[in-house]
Amino acid sequence: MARRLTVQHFLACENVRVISPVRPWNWYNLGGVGHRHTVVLSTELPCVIPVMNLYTRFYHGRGSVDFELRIWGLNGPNGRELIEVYGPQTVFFRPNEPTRDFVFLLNRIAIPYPGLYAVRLASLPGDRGRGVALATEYFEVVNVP
Amino acid sequence: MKQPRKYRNSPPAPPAGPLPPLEVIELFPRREARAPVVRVLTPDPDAARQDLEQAAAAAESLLGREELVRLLQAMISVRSTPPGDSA
Repeated sequence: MARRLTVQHFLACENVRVISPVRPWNWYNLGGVGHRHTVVLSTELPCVIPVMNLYTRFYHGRGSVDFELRIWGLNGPNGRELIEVYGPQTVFFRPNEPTRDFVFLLNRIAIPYPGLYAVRLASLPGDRGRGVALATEYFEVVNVP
Repeated sequence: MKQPRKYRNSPPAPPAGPLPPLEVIELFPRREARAPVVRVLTPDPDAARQDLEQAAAAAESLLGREELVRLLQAMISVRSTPPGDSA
């Protein structure tokens, strides 16, 4: 039986850099890895996180799979609330490649209030079966003076 | 020879041979109705400059300005010395 698609690493970071010079077996630096995004108190809410990188390592990918990322506010005034949707985006997995890394770069995440947020990565229903939640990353937005 | 034990959730071994370059899938909020951009990650001189500035600021806070300047001068001196000329 074929192994199902899984995500082993799903990590929010400020930037991803390739270490120069570029060559096979290249190394990469993940920068600014952390759970907390700070918002200066003088910034009016809602505010926008311009860019968030999500380093993602897939295992057992086959064929093409559609993905969607959803940002959830977890402790807003109305409780759990869907903030933003990214995708769907089709990703192609090459044969004989049991591990594959991608970076999902999310632009302009609108943040309505300080608090805890979740980024959920899910595959969408398709030829290869029903959609399934694959990974969740969390980040917190806090006001700083 | 004893084989390493296989755990149930152990990841697969990476493929033999060169790995593909890291691809960045740039996505926009669905309400903006913009097409995603897929690109291969390449070195960025602006990013390198920004990294250097951040590293210098971090080193200065830990070591102090004088030590940072001394280290930078030593690095420049080493790099500007031709190979075999170190004596």
